[in-house]
Amino acid sequence: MLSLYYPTGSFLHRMPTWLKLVVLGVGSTALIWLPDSYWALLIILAPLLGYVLARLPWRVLGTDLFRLSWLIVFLMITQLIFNEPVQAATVIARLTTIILAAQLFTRATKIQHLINTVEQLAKPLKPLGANPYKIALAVALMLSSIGQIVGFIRQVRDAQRARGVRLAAWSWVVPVLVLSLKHADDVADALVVRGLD
Amino acid sequence: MTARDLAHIAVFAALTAGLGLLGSFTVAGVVPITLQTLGVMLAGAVLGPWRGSAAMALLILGVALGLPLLAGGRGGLGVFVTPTAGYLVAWLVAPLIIGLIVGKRPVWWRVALGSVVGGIFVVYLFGIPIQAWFTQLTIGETILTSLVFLPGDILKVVVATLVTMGLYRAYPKAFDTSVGTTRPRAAQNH
Repeated sequence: MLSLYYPTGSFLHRMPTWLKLVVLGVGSTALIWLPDSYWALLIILAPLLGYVLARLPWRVLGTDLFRLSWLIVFLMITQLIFNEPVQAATVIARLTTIILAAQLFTRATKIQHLINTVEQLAKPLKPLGANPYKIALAVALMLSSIGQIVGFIRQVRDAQRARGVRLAAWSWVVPVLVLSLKHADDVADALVVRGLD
Repeated sequence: MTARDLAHIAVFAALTAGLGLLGSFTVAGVVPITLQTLGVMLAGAVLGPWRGSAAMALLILGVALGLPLLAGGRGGLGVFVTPTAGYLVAWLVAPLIIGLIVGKRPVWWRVALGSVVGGIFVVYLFGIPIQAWFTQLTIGETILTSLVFLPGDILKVVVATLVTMGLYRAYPKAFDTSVGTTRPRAAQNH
């Protein structure tokens, strides 16, 4: 399954999902008022400590930091061109902290728990015509379709290569779209059979 | 919303995620293009304004849930607090504009116009101010740094137009919102 969740059973993993969302939201918002200073860089230690408390292996932290690196490099270049170094350091510290904290949340929270929380959160939208169950179902359908579609892409590209046609770089997009939308119609039929309309 | 709408929305969200997973290719050796915004343009042109926006809302919900659905396997709540957050917000609005401009039956110039207005103008309209705010640069400076993406965006408009017209020829049923599901008529009245 496509997931960033990494189970360790730490207290951060066991904390209720809504509480984690609240801590994350309040913490990220508070960082907006971080004053310009080189000391601001120390705030990055907070999410790093969180990774340790969540008992996530160093490899996971390494992967997440590596994914962040392109952004940090991009920020450094644009910041140092247009801003003072102190401001640049503060902006980088703030963004790195927020992103790492959110990533930590994702690492420590099961998707199913999050889907359940979404269903709960969507309940107040019911009077507006939203159906919390359908929203949760759509998320599940999207997840199961990704594997299918990646399969379609491989299939169409292999077929075109086998026929030896040299077409435009995007010539596979139309056949993949046709297969995907046909797949969607099949899924719709299956849903109707199961009583959903 | 019918089951067919739900399925189309979910599959198009998945398709856009899939286009991002494919990674990117480089044009003229400098400009990196991810195909993900192509998915945004196609959602509006193929599914129409409302279902197109719903597909992108679902994708963004998935990202917020922590799924690595954005180009390069990015995901999680973190992306909403990065300088690129505004572009994600624009994804909700872009299919709406594109779908309204394209209308019921796609005509090539309407698809191209819609993709330019919705897929480029609207995306930059939301993306640039938020990027400027996050990075503490002026709007003008941010526009300068964003110019490198413009050639790729123009290429994507061309591809989106060709693909939409191609799909309309190959599978016109996809554009027909009046079709329910393929079940027999008699069953519909219970």
